[in-house]
Amino acid sequence: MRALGNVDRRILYVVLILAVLYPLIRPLGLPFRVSDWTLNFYKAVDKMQAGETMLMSIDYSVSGGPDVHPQAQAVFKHALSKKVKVVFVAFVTEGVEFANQMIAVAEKDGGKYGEDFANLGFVPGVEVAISAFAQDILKVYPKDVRGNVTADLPIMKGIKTAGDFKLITEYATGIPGPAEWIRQVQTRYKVPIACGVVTVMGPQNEPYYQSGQIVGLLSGLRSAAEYEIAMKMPGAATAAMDAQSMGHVAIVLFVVLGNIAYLSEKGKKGGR
Amino acid sequence: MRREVPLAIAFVTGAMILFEYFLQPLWKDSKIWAQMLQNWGTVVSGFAMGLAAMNLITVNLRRMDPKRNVEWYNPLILLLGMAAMAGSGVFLGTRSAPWQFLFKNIFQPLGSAMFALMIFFIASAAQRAFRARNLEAVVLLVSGIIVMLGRAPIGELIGLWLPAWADWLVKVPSLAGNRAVMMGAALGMVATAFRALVGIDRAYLGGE
Amino acid sequence: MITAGKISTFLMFVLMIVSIEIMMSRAKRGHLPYVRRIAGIEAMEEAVGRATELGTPVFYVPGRTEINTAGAAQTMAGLEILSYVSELTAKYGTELRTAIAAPNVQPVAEEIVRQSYIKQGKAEAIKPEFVQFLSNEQFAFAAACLDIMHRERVGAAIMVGEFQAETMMLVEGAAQANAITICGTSRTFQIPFFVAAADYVLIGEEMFAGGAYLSKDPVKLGSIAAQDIGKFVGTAFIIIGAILFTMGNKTLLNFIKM
Repeated sequence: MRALGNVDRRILYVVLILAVLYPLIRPLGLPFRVSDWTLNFYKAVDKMQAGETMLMSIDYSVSGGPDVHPQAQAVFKHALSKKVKVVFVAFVTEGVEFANQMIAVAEKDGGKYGEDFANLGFVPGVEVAISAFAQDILKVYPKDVRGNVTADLPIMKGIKTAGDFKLITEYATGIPGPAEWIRQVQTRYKVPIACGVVTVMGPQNEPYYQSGQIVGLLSGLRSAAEYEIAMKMPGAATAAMDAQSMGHVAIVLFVVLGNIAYLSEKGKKGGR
Repeated sequence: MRREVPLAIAFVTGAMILFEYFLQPLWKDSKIWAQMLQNWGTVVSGFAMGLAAMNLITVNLRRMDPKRNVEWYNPLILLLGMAAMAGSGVFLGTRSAPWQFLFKNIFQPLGSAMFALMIFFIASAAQRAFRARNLEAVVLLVSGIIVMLGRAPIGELIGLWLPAWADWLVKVPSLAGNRAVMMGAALGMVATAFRALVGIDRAYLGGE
Repeated sequence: MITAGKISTFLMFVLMIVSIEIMMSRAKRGHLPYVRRIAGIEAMEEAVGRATELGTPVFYVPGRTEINTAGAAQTMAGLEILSYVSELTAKYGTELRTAIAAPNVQPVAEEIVRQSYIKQGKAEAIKPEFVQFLSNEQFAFAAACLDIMHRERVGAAIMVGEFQAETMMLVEGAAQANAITICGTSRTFQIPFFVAAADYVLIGEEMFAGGAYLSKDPVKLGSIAAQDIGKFVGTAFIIIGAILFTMGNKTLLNFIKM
């Protein structure tokens, strides 16, 4: 019994790898429902009319990319399907490149840069930069990533401050996150904001969702999968759900086995 | 003067931003001043990155000495990688093929792999630390298991009650605790920021 | 006069500032507030002592965010505690490894450590490795920290400040290196990781109190007491607001929205 509680870490790691790999090779097809966090995010985007402009702030790092990038991809796809225009910005360095990757796919599908979407690029300064951006977009971004004058882009017609967007969506793995956007943008301009965050940040942003400061919340890969289901277009995120389930089961198993060993050892010592 | 000037700058800048946030109707032009200060903050952040890069280079050049460091090749790889990424970005542009190759095939997968390694640390910590030592530990253990299983699709297979309980745990007791800690932390931040603004806390100046 | 939509926030802000001033004045006149024992803070000297006995360095991280973000207060709390820890390492002749992730924190941390060593009369003992900028990329930083902790077999790992997803790697990595771990953050979704894996944890505002607690500065201790006044007011708002709202009265809600 003691051995159960002192299992070599490497054995745990091997079991974990196998538990996660198996469903990727042989999918289990476990069903799951769409949470109200995701549904409200979906509805906020779905409510937009053709020709209206949405902001997507890509504020996640490469490390959190696998958890958050599928959310941004799903939302971007949804927006394009409704002929909603999308402006990308970034307040972390890697955000520019993630936006470029999504734009490259959209251009291959016939989208026009500058009219249907545009990437304004990265500005350093985190919250200070967000505040400055919200007040005067053209001052903070005189040119976009392709060197075009921002004011001349057709998509930026009538867009001078953050309040001119119909919906702001932000995707984060840390700072800046929903709190920064709420402080600097939502409280001043009253624009609806919906946020996508890495899984571990989800519960922390629940107060903002409950108070209505954010209209929707995506939390991790599971929410990306839910969004795909809501769009009726299951994709890579949906496919990864089985692996996530098995990973969780493996960890719970380790914890339970560890406790069985601990309690039986405690019982033996108590018995003596 | 060495202390007084930075303290005065900190006070005036902070007071200006606060004034613009709360009392802008009293002085309409405060918005322009506050925006200018924020733009300066953005510029200073950019320069700080350069400073950090210099420190990184200096420390790692020192560590490349084989007499002082057995693994002298690690700092060399770091500096070469840094030079390749920065050089291709600056001289060829971030849309160039070399930079795109480095970002998509090295930087991005490495970052994702590091994040993925977290699962092993979590598993190791969970197996070591989640022991039913006392009542609080049992509550932590049980609620952790409910949320872990309830939040994954497998939870719905076990029973619809599991995701419902997991949702309740996240939205009620966990949220209550979250809010309480957030409130306390927010008050702590106000107090710390006020002390920094009036010059009582001088940590940002490098101590006393 | 006050920007629309921010009247109640402004009033609460003014109340908080007035409370801080009153409590700081009282503390200066000798009415020091009682601050309960904070186990994590008191364990720091023990942790440095352990590292000294083992002949291994103390590993310190003052958080990962810059000094011009919303997390600056946590970073400053972390730097205050760095000041204390570096004085201890100077006093006992223990090696120090401070890992920095934010570019604009690095010169500040260097100066803090330098001042601590000068204060202890050990200026010649300062080494460049004492404060190192590693990376502002999250997991590159975490990987570098793990390398330092395992390669140098640190005896104590003290991590106080703002952290993000790398928390678990840092604290479990320190535990695997058999270091005594003292951690603190106000980031609510990282606190559970610290609680699960660290030996001592400073939760939420305990880390803000830490600097004042260690310095025994009456002015700083006074501002800690003022935070409690803010909490009483907040609690009163919650209870009264919940009762009024349940009865259908939205007076307090409308005041907060003003």
